[in-house]
Amino acid sequence: MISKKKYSFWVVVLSFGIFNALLVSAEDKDIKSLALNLQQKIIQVSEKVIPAYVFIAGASGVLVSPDGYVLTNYHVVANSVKWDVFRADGKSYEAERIGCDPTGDIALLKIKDAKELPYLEFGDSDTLEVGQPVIVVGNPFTIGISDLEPTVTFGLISALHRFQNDYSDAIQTDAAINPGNSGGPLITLDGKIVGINGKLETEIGFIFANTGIGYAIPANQIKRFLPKLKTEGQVVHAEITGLRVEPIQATENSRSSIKVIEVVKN
Amino acid sequence: MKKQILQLILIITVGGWVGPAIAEPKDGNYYEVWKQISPSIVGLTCTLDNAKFHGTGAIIKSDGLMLTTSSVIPPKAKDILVRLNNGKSYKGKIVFTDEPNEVTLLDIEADNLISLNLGDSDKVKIGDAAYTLGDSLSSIINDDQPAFSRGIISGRYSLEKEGAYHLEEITGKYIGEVIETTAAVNGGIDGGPLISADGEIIGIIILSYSKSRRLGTALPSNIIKSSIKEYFSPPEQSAGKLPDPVSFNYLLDKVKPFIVGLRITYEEKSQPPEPPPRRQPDPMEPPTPETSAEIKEYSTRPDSLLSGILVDPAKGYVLTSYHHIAGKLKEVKVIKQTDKSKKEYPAKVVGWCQDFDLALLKTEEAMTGEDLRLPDQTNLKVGQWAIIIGNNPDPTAFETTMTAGIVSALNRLINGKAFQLDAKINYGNIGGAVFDLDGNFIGLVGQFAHPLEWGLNSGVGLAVKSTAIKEILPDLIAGKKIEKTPLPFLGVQLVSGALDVKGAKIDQVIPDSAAEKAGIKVGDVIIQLNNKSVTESRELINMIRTYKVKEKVKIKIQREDKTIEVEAVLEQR
Repeated sequence: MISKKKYSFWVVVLSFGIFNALLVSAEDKDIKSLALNLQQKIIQVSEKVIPAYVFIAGASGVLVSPDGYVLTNYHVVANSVKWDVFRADGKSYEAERIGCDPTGDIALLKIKDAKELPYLEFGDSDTLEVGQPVIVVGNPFTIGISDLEPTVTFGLISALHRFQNDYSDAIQTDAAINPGNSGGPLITLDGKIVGINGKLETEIGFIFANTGIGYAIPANQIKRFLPKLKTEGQVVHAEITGLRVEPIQATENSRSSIKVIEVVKN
Repeated sequence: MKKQILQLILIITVGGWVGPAIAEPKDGNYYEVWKQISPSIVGLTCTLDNAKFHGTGAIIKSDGLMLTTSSVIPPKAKDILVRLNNGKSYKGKIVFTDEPNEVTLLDIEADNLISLNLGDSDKVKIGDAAYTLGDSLSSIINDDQPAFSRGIISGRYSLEKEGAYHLEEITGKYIGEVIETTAAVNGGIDGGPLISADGEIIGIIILSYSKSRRLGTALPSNIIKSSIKEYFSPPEQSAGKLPDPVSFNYLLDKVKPFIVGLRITYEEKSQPPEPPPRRQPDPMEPPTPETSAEIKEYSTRPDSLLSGILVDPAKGYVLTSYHHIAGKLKEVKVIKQTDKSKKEYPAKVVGWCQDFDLALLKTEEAMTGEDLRLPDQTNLKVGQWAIIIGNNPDPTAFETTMTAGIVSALNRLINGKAFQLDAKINYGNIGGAVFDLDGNFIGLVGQFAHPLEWGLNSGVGLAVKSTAIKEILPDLIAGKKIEKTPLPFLGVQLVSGALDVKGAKIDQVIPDSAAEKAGIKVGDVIIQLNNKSVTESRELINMIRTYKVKEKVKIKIQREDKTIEVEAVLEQR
């Protein structure tokens, strides 16, 4: 970023000792070049992601294969099997819901007879770091539905493996997620899907808008269930039954937990 | 390597800069920042009169002294539990409370904790990078990690001068000087630190809001330092620097001369049109009278200074949002943000365009300063930084406000004359200016209530493009008052959804429309417009938008097994 020529110029200036004003402007330039670098990456990843994004049912989805598999949230497509989906270039397709994971809030759709569609690959959500930059693509408040241009927002991973809001293992981000972002992808700057955006937290109950907390379902959980979504149509999460439990409040020496008080026979 | 040498030079010349330099975040990854600060962030719970309290604190001394607010730990709180990010819990004891400033000091019996320094809040500049870390929705208590967010310092003002806004259900009552940030501030993060790019505490998050801004605020560290000085004197040296790739403070001096404050009074209490009904989180539960009142307050513009842009000081031209001047006006006054005398220039509305959410004002007296350059062309890209500069809600302040985000979409509303951005937009900066990284003016922040279900600071906002402003400015100067800009209209309804043919299939032809006059019939499939192929309905709609009213277009049609060509003169919608 800083050319050799500039560097030597600096040294000369410094050696004369008249540098305060110059230092400020050079530092500004440095600050700007850092912002420019990141900007370049966000622009590039946005260009890559937008063609693989689809509008669906007033919300969002993403193409995950060239032959037309689309991921979205279960709550987006729960009430119908057939859907018209639109890509950002205006092309529309008929898609059929072929697999559901109501517990994981994921649904898989298939566009009929599709081939060579732009799509995105999955990243490894287990290697995400808090503080890692991400973009979110979606249709908040259905703002993009008339001109078919999705919305790109930028932020960081705020926390990982959050047990929150019906999701047992969620990625938390401060990228703006609003109603209509549901089903859209959470993407790292290398253009990989690391999550499907699901829910948002609001500061005050009745104001249904982003306040810096959005949740996404991690890609690795989706990857694990994808074969089942394709073949069996329904994902059933394992559950332990037959336990009677009581909650224990956190104390000085222990965190909050649950105590098993009875195991039901058989 | 060169970079390191450069940093070394900086250390020597700036001086007083102690502590190890941490490598610059790679590709905007802030993991190191979170990792370094996290061990000093604690989750706090306590009870008082059967009520449970919850929030965040920050360790400021390795022997267990920590800082929080009295809204998290009230003076007579019981069962104070302190949770570290390593899962360990401790009993907390209140050491000191300063209720007017909401400062509380706690102590736990522990050693060798990693502490944070209290920085100098007077050095904080608008546009500096800033972080929040805290027990947001119990992230520490439930999941052993403070939730992390990055933003900038977006404002500095005094809440007592501007009028404060407190959330009913929360006990924050602080009035006075605050630092505002765009980093996430949510339930549970109050009492937690606002961290500077240097890794120091420059404030603690309180739950007081500016009425017009409604963004998270922090009590400045210098107030805290003087409050707690009998209990703790912070070490003089600063923490290890955490270099930040996205800070926009360098832009401020260049762009703030263009920002003005508007003091607008109305004949009667006239407000912009009611916003569309807000979606309920739970449609089964209609709002109570209390929440309805809160929704109304939330959707109502407060009586404080609004933002405008000084485009031509010699002629006294100021641009702002149409929403600000809608209704019967009594008086409009313009105050230059950088003017030390805070002189109020009486002004009149010259023209407006409701569609663009744009209004032009003219001050009676000439002002001084440079003209704002309105570009003929901007090469906007999705993902580029978009920095909003607005007026400061505090009438005595000389600093503007700044929120930063990216361009989210390029062409919105009114034939793509607006673009969308994720920088925080609120009543305080509507009418303000959007700049790119070079300080080029790219748009004016609009309210655009329809069709957008508008959420304050939701990260979904719209600005009218500077190029569109340039196009329409002569009309506004000429005194035109435009409700709707003419949009080109062909006069057909298209079959929506997937088709078995390529093109745009006609579902209906509007009587007397351009399409009917051209002889277009139901069932026709439009396959070309001015020799450009049309493959989808949406594509045709977007193509029509690029033409002007009364422009002639050639349309190629597939009618059964024939291909015919017609000419249509586009009409006004």
